[in-house]
Amino acid sequence: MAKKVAGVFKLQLNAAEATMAPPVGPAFGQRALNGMEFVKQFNARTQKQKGYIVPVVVTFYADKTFTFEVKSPPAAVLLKKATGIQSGSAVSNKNKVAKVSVQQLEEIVKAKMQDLNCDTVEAGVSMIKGTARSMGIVVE
Amino acid sequence: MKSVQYINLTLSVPEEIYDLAYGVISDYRTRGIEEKFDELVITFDYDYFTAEIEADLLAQLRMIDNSISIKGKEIIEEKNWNAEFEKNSPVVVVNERIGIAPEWKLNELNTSLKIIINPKMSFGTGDHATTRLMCKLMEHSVKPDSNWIDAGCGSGVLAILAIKLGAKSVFAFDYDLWSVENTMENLILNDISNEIQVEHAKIENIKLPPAHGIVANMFSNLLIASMEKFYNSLKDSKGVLIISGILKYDKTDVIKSAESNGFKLINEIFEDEWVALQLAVRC
Repeated sequence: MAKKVAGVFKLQLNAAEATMAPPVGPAFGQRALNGMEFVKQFNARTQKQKGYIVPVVVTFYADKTFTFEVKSPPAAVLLKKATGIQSGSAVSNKNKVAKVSVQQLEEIVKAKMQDLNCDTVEAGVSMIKGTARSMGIVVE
Repeated sequence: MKSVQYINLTLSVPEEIYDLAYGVISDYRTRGIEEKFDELVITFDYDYFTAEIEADLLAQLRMIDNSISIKGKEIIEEKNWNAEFEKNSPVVVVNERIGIAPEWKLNELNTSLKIIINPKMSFGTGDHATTRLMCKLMEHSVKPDSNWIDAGCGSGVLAILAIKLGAKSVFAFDYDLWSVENTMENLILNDISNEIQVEHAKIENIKLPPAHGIVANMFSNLLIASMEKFYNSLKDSKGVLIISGILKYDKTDVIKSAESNGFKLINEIFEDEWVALQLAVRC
């Protein structure tokens, strides 16, 4: 029989660098979950994404156990890394701050494919293009 | 323990622009973010979060959406966040010989070798697979009167086990202050004092003394980066290196690094998705 889900919470954490400091400690502690177990597993699983902030969705159960899923870094973060810009444009429809190639977008889509609500790389590129436009990044 | 403080900054942010907001927030040194409905709670170290940082962050976020506003700021004092869970800390039987329990459950332990670990937000209660795997590999590796190093000692469980298995001394260290404090408390509970030296240090910055054995339950990247340092400590004694904190998917990379630094693989054991490796200096 499936375990009874007691709730879900979502954090964004620095890959491979989680500690029991907030937000992890309070998020797990207030639900009487084993935060130390989470820190060990999260850091081990995200070693290769070090340097990125990554979303993690934690599902906890009535028996005080939990599971979690690490998602790919946010598209805006990946776009900034790809283009090397410090920040997006204040007036994104007028001031363009960087350029990104379709090939770079495809790389981002491949990294995020499992989390994007689409079936093909082309569809994913269209979605990431929208984020790029909002940041004042021109797609070439 | 030094008092540590954090700031929780709660921002009103429309959920549909979270992704763009993360693009901005990732430029600042945060501890992490908790997502709530149309609300982001960002945690900063208290010393880092100045009025300038706050003003700059808000200005950058308002370039995305001018409606973003601060809903609240709260100072958070460091404490043992794991306390509720720790009240129910389990009795762990590693095998027929070795068991781990908190002081208040010691009478439930029937093994011949008993380790008392009162948990306090440090890793190593025995509840995690990697601690049990490390204990199993140590059981037949620790020789009488040998000198050991416990790198990333957490609760001190492995250092204590080494002494109980006959080691003469252990040099234990951890970068985390909670762990250093907890190790010292657990040494007293186990009637160990002079045999284990505990230090607050990062492996990147420490010079390891010569030893007959090293235990390190850390992470793959850190283990790989420390391999040369481990070898230099063990080369004269042709000692043994026991490591874990390694997911089975990362095992090949760790073994490759160990072999290119003068070690050979002696044994590997698994539990769930975790692996522990026993390596020896190549003769």
